[in-house]
Formats: sequence, structure tokens, C-alpha cells
Amino acid sequence: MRRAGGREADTERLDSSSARASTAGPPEHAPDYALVIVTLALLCIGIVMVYSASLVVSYAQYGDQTYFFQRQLLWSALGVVVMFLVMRVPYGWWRRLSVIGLALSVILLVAVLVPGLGTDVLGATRWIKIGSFTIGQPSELCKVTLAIYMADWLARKGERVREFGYGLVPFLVVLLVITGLVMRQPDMGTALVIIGTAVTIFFVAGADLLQLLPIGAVGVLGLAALTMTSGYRHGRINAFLDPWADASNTGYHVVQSLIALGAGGVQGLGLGDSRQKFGLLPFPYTDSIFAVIGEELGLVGCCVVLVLFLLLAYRGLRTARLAPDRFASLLAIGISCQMALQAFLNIAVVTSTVPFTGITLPFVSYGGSSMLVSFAAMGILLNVTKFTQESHRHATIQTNVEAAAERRRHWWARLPSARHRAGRPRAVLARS
Amino acid sequence: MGRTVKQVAFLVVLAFLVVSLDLAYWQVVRAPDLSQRAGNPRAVKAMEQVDRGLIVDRHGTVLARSVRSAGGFKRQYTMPSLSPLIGYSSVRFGQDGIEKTFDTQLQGTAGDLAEALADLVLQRPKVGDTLTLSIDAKLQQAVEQAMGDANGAAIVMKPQDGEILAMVTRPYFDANQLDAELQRLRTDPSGPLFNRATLGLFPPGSTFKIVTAAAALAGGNARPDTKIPQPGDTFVVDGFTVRGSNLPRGLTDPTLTQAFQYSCNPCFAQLGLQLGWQRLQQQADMFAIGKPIPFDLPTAASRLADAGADLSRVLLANSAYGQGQVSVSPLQMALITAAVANGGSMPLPHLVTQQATRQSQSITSFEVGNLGTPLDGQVAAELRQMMVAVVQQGSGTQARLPNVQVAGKTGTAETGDGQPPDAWFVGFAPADQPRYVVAVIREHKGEGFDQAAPMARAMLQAALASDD
Repeated sequence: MRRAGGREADTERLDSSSARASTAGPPEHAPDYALVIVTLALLCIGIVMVYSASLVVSYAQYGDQTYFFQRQLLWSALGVVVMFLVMRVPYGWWRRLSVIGLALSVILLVAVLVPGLGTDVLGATRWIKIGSFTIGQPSELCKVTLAIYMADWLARKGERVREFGYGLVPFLVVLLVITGLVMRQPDMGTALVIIGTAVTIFFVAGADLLQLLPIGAVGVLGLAALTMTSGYRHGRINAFLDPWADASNTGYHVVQSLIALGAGGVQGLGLGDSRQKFGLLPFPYTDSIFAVIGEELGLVGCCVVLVLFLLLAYRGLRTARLAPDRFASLLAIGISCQMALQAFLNIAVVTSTVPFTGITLPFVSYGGSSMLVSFAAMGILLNVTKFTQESHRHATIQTNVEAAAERRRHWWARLPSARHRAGRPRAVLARS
Repeated sequence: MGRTVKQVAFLVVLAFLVVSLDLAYWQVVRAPDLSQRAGNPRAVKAMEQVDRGLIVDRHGTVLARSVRSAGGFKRQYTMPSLSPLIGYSSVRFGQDGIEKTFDTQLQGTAGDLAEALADLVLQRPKVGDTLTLSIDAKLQQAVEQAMGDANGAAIVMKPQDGEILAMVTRPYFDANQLDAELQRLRTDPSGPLFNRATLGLFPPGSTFKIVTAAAALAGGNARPDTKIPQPGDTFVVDGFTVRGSNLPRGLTDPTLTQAFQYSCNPCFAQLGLQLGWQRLQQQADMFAIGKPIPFDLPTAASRLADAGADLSRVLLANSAYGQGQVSVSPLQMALITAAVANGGSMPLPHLVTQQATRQSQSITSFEVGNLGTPLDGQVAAELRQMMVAVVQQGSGTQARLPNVQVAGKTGTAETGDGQPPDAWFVGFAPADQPRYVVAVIREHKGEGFDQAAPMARAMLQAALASDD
């Protein structure tokens, strides 16, 4: 799909109305089985690794080495069911729920901060607890609802995304509110995934690169400010720069992860043979599960996981390219980037490529909320794959050939002034 | 939109490429270093699960093996006198010696992928490679016996290829008793954990006259038959009196050979002054004094004088006969002797000769090297004759063997702490076709001629007997 011009914006409106009517949409075909297989492969690796990584902690805490494993099996089964159910829901439906979904997420995000409702786990309030009943993590839910909302909202805006007051400002306001609430918990990892996903959708929707750059600058400055003001984040940066300087305290997590990786080497110690999971590696079955994979299955196992996530991202992005309409395309982008970014962050923390932040590895790490939300998101993406239009590819090639000259100077085309040169009447777009 | 999606895809690929490179860095490049980091408890655990390679002597006698015990494999050593060389590999104390230097090979981590995969699938313990040492266990035992109750070090080496056949350092420890003993061993003032042969630095005494004589011969300052100008019982330099003429009564005009043969200190003090610091230093450098010797175990750098020392004439005169600030390791003296025995070239010493997989499917021999040629053939031949004279009718007659001509040099080194001097002997046999070089130091045992020479004799005898 090329960036929306005036005509496309019209088509877009038609698309959305047809989606609302749930009638004659684009032709439906089988979902992308490659994506299903990749997801299930990750899940299988996850189930095995969660068992291996959690048995020590399970036994120590609950006297039953399969405690986490059993729960993970349950969540996995539930997750797969949710995925296949959601896959049957026409993606257009989510559009109608986009505002409600986001509103619900915001309410839950606020609720989690209300004393008495939110449960404090390790200095971060991420869970909602009513009585003895814990309702998952609203920040997990928020990742998907925000992606849906952004995709819907930006698809509607069409070319006007590029307008400062109409595109960028509302985008930033929504993003800041959400990430602000998430950061209050505090949950840096999820906030980063949310920001990354939202910015990617915004970018693909046709945002002005020159407008995005200041966001980046502000974001970096904001992060720097947060780092300076928060003791634990400051410690994490120092631990990132030299984990061994304070290996028993701030650098502990990173050092233990790296030791696990080094121990695994190329071939790994063998499945179940991790030593680091014996009380050395913090959260071996959630945030650090990749370190356990690295230790037991070595570089070979790590590469398998990396390749699976790359495949997932590839199939997701391919879906975005072949999606029947703008919303579907942006939604596919949002979901696949969220998965890829989350996987990247989780792995990059273990390899000390980025400073420490706690985040789960989608489909692999233990965790109910994360599991259900990831599978639901995958279900949505799979539904979109049912409507992909292969012909789009040929059309795109055709257009590519025709637009070869424009391509060569593509970045000019993206500058606000270049638009006039390209001869696109701005006024028409704005009022259409 | 296709274009932006592609750009996003590019970013995703880039990000994953970065993490995979980082992964490879930690899991391949840094893996050995990470797993050996002190305080890495899992390395220790993992170590127990490896059927560590055997260490055998040149005839295949097992010197170290892994035996199954409750928690995994435990190391067992058969010859305590080799503990300072072989070291140990212990869950509690880590590794030392050959066990440390060749840890990778002994762990078998250097093995091929197919075998490692088979181990993984079959749940076999990882089997390390077998290391063959140049040590001859029988000879080692004989040398250890010859050492008696003295502290010190003794080396038997093959001069051509630098293979160490025996290396004794006393006192030593028993690596099997480490768990119970290490704390005591660490604080023992006699230093049983310390390999004197490679790390000990001692004043060489008169054995260093080989270096001084080499400098004089090579520089053309003297011939073997050159008369020493001012022989006498003593020699005074800038108010310092050099004693220890050692010349037989009636010998008043000794040649260089005779001064060497009887180990005349005043004669060598004069010779040293005649050579000057530069020439002596040059010769010492050629013998690789001043640098740690490349070896399978850590070595200490021998030196002619302390760093920043006042290079006075008194110090020069004393250095010429191996006192002053000269300090050398027994291994260094063995190498200097080997250079003479070899006709000039100094071998690279080594202890590990071969690495083989347990079933010997693949055998790697370690390369034999050379530390340069500190002497030319003429000088080496002249020195050899002088060393033969020492044993024939000089200070080293107690090293004489009945059927084989022995060449050598005695040394009696003042240690300056009020204790009896260290007794030294370096030599080789047979003198014309040298097969064995020996170097001995027995600390605080007295004179080299009667405390070290007889031991060298016993060592050479045992060595010569071993190859008959």
C-alpha cells in the first residue's frame, strides 16, 4: 500500500463503513499458517523452558516443582483457545471497540495505582487485586488496546497525519498519558514497548519524519531526566556500562545473565542443565528466560528463538503490506512490531545490549496476562491474514516500477515542502 | 506504505542482528573468560561433571586422572612431587599449574562439534583430552630422592628440544590433600605452593661464570688460555675486597680455563671489570635473562641487576661471579647450560608434548621452539671444554661418572642472610654428545662442590640409565 493520497482516503472511509456493516468485505481465505506455526513453536519452546527454568523456584516456594509449569500449561491452553477464537472475529470489529478498549485500559491503569487495589510486587504496582483475586496486568492489555486505537485513529486521519496540530499533537497527548500511567507503576519495559509500537504505527501511517525527530529528541531527554531522578534507573545505567563494577548489587542481574550465556557457549549445557537457575539468576522463568535458553541450549538454541521471532515479524509485516485496508495494515504493523520489539528488549537485556529493564519474552516467558494478551493480539493479526490480497504485491511491483523516479528521491517527498513540489493540493486533502 | 513497512522491517532485522552479534560475543568470544571468572559458582558445578582428561608421563604412566565420586568427578594425582607442576583442579580452590594452563584441552571443550553433540544426545559426561608430559616419572622419583631433605629445585632437560624430563621443587605439596591442607600450605613460610624451579629467583653464584666467560670469549676479551693479569687471593675494587680464589696452591698464573675450572672469584671480578656493564648485559640479554621464559607454567624473569640499581664497579665485579644483584631461576640456568651443550642454540623449554582425544583418534603434538642462539659454535665449544675441565679436575669432580664424560659448573651462592650458602651445580652429559642437561640448587646446604655436584651426578646417572 502506498501512502494514502486523496483517493485512498476515500477508499478508506468506504472500507471502514463496510467493516461496520460487517458485510461484503475483502474476500476471506485461509489464515497465514506460517504465523500459526511460528507462534506455536515459540509456545512449545516456552513451555519446556518455563518448566526447566522454574522448577527450582517452584520447588523452593511451593514444594512442587511443577507449580509454575502447570499454570503455564493452563495459560497456554487458554491462550491458544483465545487466539483461535479471536482469529474468527473480523478485525473490523476491533475498530468499533477501539475507544472503549483504550478507555478501559486507562481506567485499569489508574486503578492499579489506587492504593488497596494495586498489588505491590517488588517495588512495582502492576497487578490489580480485588479481595484475593488478582486481575492481570493492565499494562499488558494496554499494549494491544493502544495499538488498535492508534491504528484506527491514524487510518481515519489519512494524509492529515502529517499536520502538526491534527496529527502529531493528539498522538503525543494520548501516548504521553498512557506511558505516563505505565511509568507510574513503574514499568519502564512496557512503556518502551508501547512508545515503540505507537511511533512505528505513526511512522507507517505517513507521519512526517521531521516531526518525529523532535519526538525522539524529547523522548531521549525525558529518559535521561528520568534516569537522573530515579535512583534505581541510574543504577541500571551504571550496571549497563560496567556490570562487573557492582556485580553483587546493581550489576547482579546482568552479570548472572552473562555468566549463563557464557556457560552455554555454542552448544549449551544441555536441556535442564542450567546452573544459573539454581537461585542465581533472578526470575529465570520470566524476564531471564532467554538467559536460561542461552545456558541450556547455547547459541544454537538462542538463534532458533531469534529466527522464530524474525519470522514472526516478517510474516506480520508482510501481512501489513498485503492488508486490504489502512486500518488492517496499521494494526498488523502495530501487533508485529510490538512482538518484535518486546522480544528484542527481553533478549537485549540479557545480552547487555541495552540497560536492564524487566519485560517478558512473548509466548515464551511465564505469565498469564502476558500470555493471554499476546495470544489475543496474534489472533487479531491472524484474522487480518485471512484478508490479505496477494494481488497487492503485483500491484505494488507495478506501482514501484512506475514510481521509480519518485522513489529515488523518496525522502524529499516526505518533507512538508516537497509535497507542493509533488503537486499534491494540500487544501483538497485537508477538507476531503 | 509498502516503503515504510520495508523500512520498519529493515529496523527489525538490524535490531535482531545487533542482539545476535552480542549473543555470539558473549557465547563464543567471552565464553571461556566468563566461565572462568572467579566466584562463578556454576563453573565449579560444571567442572565436576566433566571427565577431565588424563595427564600422563612420556611413557604413558598416569599422573592425574578423574574418578567418579558422589557429586561428580574428582581429580586424583599419583605423584605428589609433581603437584607444583601439574597443579590442581579443585571445586573449592580452582586451578593451578598445567591443570590451569591446559584447562580447555583437559575439559575437552576444544573437541569437535559432532562428538559434543553425540555427548549431548547420549547424556555422556564430557571427556577431556589426554595430555602427555615430557616428564619421566621414574626419573622424577630418582631426582626427588637425590634431593634429600634439602629445599631447592632440580631440573633434568633434553638440551635439543627443551623437553623437561624431571623438575623437582622442594618443599612441595600433595594436590590430593588440598582440601585439608591448603590453608596451612598458603601460610607455610617455606612456600610449598611455590614452584622454585620456574618462579624462584636465586643468586646463581659461580654458575654465572658461564655467562661472564661467554661474554669474554665472544667479545674477544679473552681466550681460554689467556692469563688472568693480577691473580691473587683477593682482589680489591673501589675499597671492596673480593675473596674466594679457590686456586690450588702453587697455581699463580691461571688461564681463563683454570680460573673457571677452580672457580676463582677475584679472577672473574677482574674479568668483569674488563668487560664492562654493557658487554655483560648484552650477553645476559642473549641468554634471555630479563624476560620471563615462555613456558607451559608461569616463570619469573631472571635479572642481572635490580631495576634502577646503581651500576657501580663494585656491583659489576660482584655480578661477574654471580653475586651482587644477579638473580636467576633454576630453569634459566638449565637453559644457559643447554645452550652450551647444544653448541649455541637455546631451546624453548616445554612440559606438555602431546594432546590426544581419549581414544587417540586425533593427536596434536606441540611445537618445539628455540629461544635464539646466544653463543656461536666456537664459543660454545670452548665453554664446553672449560666445563669438562671443571668436572675432570676442578671444583666439580664429585659429578664425575665412570664411563661418561660430564661437563659442569659448581656454584656456591651467598644469600646474605647469615645462613649457609646455596649449593649449585649445572651440567650436562655426555660432554661430546649431550643428551641431558641438569641444574640443581640446594638451598642453604653449603658448597656446590660437595652439596650439589654429587646430586647432579646422581641425576645424570639416573637419566643415562633411563635411556639404556
